[in-house]
Amino acid sequence: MKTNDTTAMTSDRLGSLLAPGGEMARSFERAYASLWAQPHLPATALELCRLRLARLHGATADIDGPSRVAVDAAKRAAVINGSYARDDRVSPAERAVIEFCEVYAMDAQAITDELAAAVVTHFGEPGLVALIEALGFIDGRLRLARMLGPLFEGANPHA
Amino acid sequence: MHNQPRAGTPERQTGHVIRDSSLGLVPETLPALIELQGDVWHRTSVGPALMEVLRLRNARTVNCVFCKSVRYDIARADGLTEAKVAKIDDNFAASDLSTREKLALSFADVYLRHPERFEPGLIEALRKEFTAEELAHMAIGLTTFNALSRCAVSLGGMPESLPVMEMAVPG
Repeated sequence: MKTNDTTAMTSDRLGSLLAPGGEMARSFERAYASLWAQPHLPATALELCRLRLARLHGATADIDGPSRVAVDAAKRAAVINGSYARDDRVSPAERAVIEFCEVYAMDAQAITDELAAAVVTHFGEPGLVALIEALGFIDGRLRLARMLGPLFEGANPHA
Repeated sequence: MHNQPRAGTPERQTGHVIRDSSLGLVPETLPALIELQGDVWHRTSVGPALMEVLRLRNARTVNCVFCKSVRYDIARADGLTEAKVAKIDDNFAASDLSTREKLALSFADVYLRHPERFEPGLIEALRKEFTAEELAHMAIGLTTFNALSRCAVSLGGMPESLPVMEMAVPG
C-alpha cells in the first residue's frame, strides 16, 4: 500500500491513493472533473472556495500546492487570510459564493435563504446547485487528503 | 429545519429520482454523479450492508431527513436489519455490532468529525481488517454520501420527518 509522498497529500493528488478502488475510483475522479467543467459557475470561483475550505481544514499542502485553476495572487491571498469580505478585488459574485461556502463548511443546516439567494442572483439556480454539488466533493477530498496519507503509509498484509 | 426549497426542478420530469430533483438543473454533472452513485453500490468490495451502515452514520451526523429515512433494497438483501440500524448511534462501540462494522463506523467518524486526528491504533486496526481496495471503496462511498446529503440539506425543502422507506439504488 506504499504510495508516493503521502506526507504532503493534496486533494488534487488523491487519485494515486484511491487507485486500489479500481473502477469506482475512476468514477470518483470523473465526477470530480465534471464539477469543475460545468458551465454554470466559473472554475475560478470554485478554486477560491477550495482555498477557503483548505484554510478552514488547516490543509497547508493544498494551500501551498499548485492551484487547480489560475487566480489572481492578491485575491487568492485575501481568501486564504479571510479578508475577502472587504477586499475590492474580490467581486460581489465571488464574495457571495465564498460566504456561502464558509457557512456550508461549518454546518449546512445553518445556510440561510439570504446566502443562497445571493448566489442565485449572480449565477442563477443552476449555479447554486453546481456550487453545492462541488462544495461537497471539494470538502470531502480535503478530508480524505488529511486521512488517507497516514492510513495508506507502509505495507498492508492484505494489499 | 428549512422547509422552502432554494432551487427548483427541471421542467421535464423523467421518473428518475436524481434527474428530477434540483440536481437536474445541472445536466452536465448528472451522468458522472449517477455513474458514481451506481458504482458505490454495485462495485463495492465491502458489501452493500456495510456501505449502508456508513451511509446511515453519515445521514445521522449531517441530520439529513431524506437520507435517514431511506433503506436501499440491496443493503437489506445483504443482511442489513433495522435492529442493526438502531445500533448506529453514538454508543456503537459498546454494541454487539461486529468488529468490522465498528471499525467502519470509527473510520466514518474520523472523516465526519476530525479528519486531522487519525489515531495510530485505529489506523493499524483498519489496515489489519480491510484491504486497500476495501479502504478505498469505503472512503469514496463516505465522501459521496456526505456530499449528497449535505447537498440535500443545503438545497432546503427538507421535511421535519419521514417514515423509513425502502428503495432501489437510482440507476
